[in-house]
Amino acid sequence: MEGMEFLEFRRVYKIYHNGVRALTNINLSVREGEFVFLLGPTGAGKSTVMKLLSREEVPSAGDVWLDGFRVNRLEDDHLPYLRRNMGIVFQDLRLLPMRTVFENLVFPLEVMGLRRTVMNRYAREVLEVLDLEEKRNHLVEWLSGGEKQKLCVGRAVIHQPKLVLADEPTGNLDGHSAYEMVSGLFQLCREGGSTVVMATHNERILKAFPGRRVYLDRGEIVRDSFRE
Amino acid sequence: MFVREVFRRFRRNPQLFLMGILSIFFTQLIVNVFIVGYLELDKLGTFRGDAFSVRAYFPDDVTTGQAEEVAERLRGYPEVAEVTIVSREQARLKFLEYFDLREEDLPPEENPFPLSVEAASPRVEDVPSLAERLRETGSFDEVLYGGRNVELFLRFYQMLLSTGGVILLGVFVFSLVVITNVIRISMQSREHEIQVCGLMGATERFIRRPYLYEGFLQGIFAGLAAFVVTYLVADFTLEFLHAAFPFFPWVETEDILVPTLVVNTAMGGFVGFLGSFVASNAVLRGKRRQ
Repeated sequence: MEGMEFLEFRRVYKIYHNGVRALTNINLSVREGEFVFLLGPTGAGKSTVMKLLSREEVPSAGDVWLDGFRVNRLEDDHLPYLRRNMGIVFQDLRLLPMRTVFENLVFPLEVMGLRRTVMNRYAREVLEVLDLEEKRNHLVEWLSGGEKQKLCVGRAVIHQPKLVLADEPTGNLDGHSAYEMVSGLFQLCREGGSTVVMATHNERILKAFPGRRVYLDRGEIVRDSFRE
Repeated sequence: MFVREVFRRFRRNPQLFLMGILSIFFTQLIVNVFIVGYLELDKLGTFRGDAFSVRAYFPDDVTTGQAEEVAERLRGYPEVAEVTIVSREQARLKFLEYFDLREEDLPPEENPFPLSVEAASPRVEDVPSLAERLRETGSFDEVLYGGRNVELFLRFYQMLLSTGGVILLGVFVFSLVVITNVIRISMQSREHEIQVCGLMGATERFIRRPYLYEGFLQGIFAGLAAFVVTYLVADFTLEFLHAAFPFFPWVETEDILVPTLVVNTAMGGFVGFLGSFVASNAVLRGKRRQ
């Protein structure tokens, strides 16, 4: 276990049931508090990397290690506790439609069993940052695409997780909002010590922010670089 | 938050929610028919109290003191609610009164009646076993209870209890199957949300909780609806029956209020909760296998 990085992929292969080879021999190490952009064309395997980290999928071969735990071998009963240390921004948002903005936002705190007063305190801060205070009690279906996206990011970070997985988090945002949102994630990474893995196609974001860039193509890592 | 969420689901998909309520509602109505039937028979049993008591006749040589001793022993039996000693003279007077005879028709010196006891059981259906128990004591020459009517009544009473039990069990299983499937459909239509909850770190217990609330509330609503409908129908029908057949011991509307309310809400809530539990277990187990 000694010398292990916060996040590691060791010879990971992923072949889906339909025969699609999504990842081939992925070896990747990420330090705690690092900000990593996952880049590559559609179908390169970026989302699969995210899914393996959240144990939405398991590798066909190899191991995924996270914070000292072999994610792919973890018992089902222990999974919720691993996931409580994660914040996920889904590509398709996946907000809970029967819940209000507030209820969606505090959901990660609710599953942790925090009290309503504590949840209120956390939510107030995040809603202010997201500029969604006035829509606190609205059902999410009444929000615009951009507001939903912001809410999704807020939900991923409200509990200050150790790892944030963001799959195309700027997809529905205009240039300014996208910049603000990634700035927020950077701040969380620097000040809160969270590790952020973000898959994106947004060239403007890539030009605007420093950090590590891991390029995937056809399920393989083709370049791993760092931009100051 | 869970209860609010259940109401939002109801607003979004009322058909599914109402289907669950209706399935429990109809089964609770059937339950209520049996409750009212049982209460009516019970009332009839109480009304015909004399007919449902057991008479046991001592041998001729038994003294009043010995009879008192036996009666005292009988009072300790669980099947015995009340024991009254009927003296020879009391029996003679009863006989004269019953047949509207004069004193000289049966003078005391010609009194043929032996000393006896009248024992009543707390429940009508216990009368035969009480009679058997009195026979087993060996203290009596003869033990009698009721006549053909009583036998018929008890047979009908037993039939109601046994067939009612079977039907109620069937009704319970039926409503459980329906509510289980309704909740299962409800969960499967929200599979996506369940998956998100899991990815947010929710345990299965946490995921299951709103569905348990949903089933429980459906059961409670269904039970209350069945109670209200039963009350309205019973009130109307019994008022008519009381007016049409005033001498028959009809059960009063007030008598059925508490039992139906308690049974409907408790059984409705229980069936709803159990159905949701079974459904959520099945769905979550299916997801684990995927």
